[in-house]
Amino acid sequence: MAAEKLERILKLLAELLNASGPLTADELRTKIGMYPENLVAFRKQFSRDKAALKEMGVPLDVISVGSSAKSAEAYFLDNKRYYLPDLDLTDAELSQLNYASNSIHLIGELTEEEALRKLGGYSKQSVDLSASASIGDVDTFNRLFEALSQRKRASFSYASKQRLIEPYLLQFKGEHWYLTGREIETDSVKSFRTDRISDLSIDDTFDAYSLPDAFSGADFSYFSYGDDDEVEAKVLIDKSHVQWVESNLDVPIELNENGDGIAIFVVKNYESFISRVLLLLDHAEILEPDFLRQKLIERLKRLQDSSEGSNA
Amino acid sequence: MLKATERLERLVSMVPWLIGNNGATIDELEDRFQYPRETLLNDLTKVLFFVGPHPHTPDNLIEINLQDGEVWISQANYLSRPLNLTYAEAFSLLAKGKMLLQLIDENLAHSSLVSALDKVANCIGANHEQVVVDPGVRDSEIYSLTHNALLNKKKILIRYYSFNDDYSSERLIQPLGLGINDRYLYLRAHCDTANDFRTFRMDRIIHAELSEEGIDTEFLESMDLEPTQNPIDLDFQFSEEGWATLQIKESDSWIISKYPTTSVTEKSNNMLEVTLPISSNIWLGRLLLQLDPETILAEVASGVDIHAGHNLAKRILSRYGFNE
Repeated sequence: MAAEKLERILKLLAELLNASGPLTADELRTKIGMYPENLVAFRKQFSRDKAALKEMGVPLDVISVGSSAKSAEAYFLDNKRYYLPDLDLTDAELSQLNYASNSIHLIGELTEEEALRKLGGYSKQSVDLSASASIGDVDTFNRLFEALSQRKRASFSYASKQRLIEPYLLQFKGEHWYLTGREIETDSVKSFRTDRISDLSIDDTFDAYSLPDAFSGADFSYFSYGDDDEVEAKVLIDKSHVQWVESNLDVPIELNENGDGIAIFVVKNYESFISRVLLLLDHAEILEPDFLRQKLIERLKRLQDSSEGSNA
Repeated sequence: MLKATERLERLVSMVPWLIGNNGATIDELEDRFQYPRETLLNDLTKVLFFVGPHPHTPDNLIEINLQDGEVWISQANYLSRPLNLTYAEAFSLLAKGKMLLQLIDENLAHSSLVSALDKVANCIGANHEQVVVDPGVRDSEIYSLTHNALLNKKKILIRYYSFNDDYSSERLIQPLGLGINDRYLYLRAHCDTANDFRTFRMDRIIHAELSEEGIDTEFLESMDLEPTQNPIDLDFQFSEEGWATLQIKESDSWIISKYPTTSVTEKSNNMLEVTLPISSNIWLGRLLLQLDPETILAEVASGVDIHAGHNLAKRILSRYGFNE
């Protein structure tokens, strides 16, 4: 039974790949010669076979043919979209892709074994990394990737607002994936956490926009955005907190002899920056500029005064 | 036993490779395409042999030559190139390749990976620069050491910074697995020092050393552990007894959605009165440092320091030379 199904679907694929134009279901039934005579049974089986091809990624299109009174659905396979372009992958390149596939674990439903077979073979070679990253909602991801690959606009709901975006890049940072793109309404480049995107729809138009010459992903240093005059702040970080600052604030740190570090931040939002430094309690100290140091001191004194007043 | 659709996917990938390679051994096909030998032979001789476009005459059916464990295919020009990658497949390869590039030694010869990723991105119309991976804490020596310990089942001596208590402690731990919650990576382990299971946020492990001592597999198995790949539940636990009531400004109302507040009421002075559980006095003090300085700490549970914010401010001011 399985062999018969396999032969039938392969014959269907052979007909579609060799066809000079769209073929109706009836024409395909006649050419393949393996479908049941009963019309209902044929439609059921034909529908399942189409689904199997589509699930594999076969770009099967349906168009209407004939006069409007007697129109019928016809099936068409765009060979340009079906065939993998000649990538000319070397053995070393295929081996590296296999190595990446086996070494990194994306938590979700994605698998690239099929992809690697298409590219020339999958091998379960030895692995020494096994790093993992969460992929979240795979369907959202695939559609966003399609949008940015084909330069199609994406609309979705985010933070209770409907957005229309021209996607530029997908970025993994801090254990999450982010989409960065231009928001049409505000004409500004914004980043969105992909697992917070809902009601996603992708426009059909290819090449609806061009990528800018240069673009970058989300910047998680909120104090880098703001209306304050830009300054460079020099902060002394205790040895015990260097690792945390490096991994959470994404800033290079120069270590001194005793292991403490000096970090230089570009600041455009003073209050936000002071809040970040205060998270480090007395394990960090703003050295420069003096006015930022004084602002931090003033904020702490106001907190003390307020606390004394309310608890008096 | 492979399903018909799994055999279909393998055939559609294998035939182009076989044609391009001008034949191959059954052993190689079996290995390269994960095609069980018996199924492969059956599909070549009893299925593919009968495939071709209408009218299915011998001159347009696929021709299979099988001889001495080797196979050649002809009359299958329409299957001489593989099916294109799906967006999901291309993305998955790009993401994994990018992540691997971030993790492996820069000196390793991985230029072939860079060129392979370029080719994969190009075939679906993307630019590989459109997928960016920042490994964050995975790039650190501590992550590498932890991973090594997990693979080799070794204990680790760590210095861990407890954010809630602002306290560092040395612990000997038996690592069990890594997990993700929100945007942080956690290590689940048995802490020999505390003689209990603990969850450590990776970026708060200040120092780590690999111990010569192996993990006690027999002991850990007897504890009936949950699978280590599951996400970890919570960053930290709120105590059941500790709570505080704050009067906050509207601009600080973000704390209502961030923390499990038990009541929120509007006050006549345009302030919001919020009651929430607290984790520790340091945690409460840190929260007050993040809020507007005019925030009022109205009431706290017994055992919670009403001066938590004041005391923490005093400590920090001392660093800036104010020792009143």
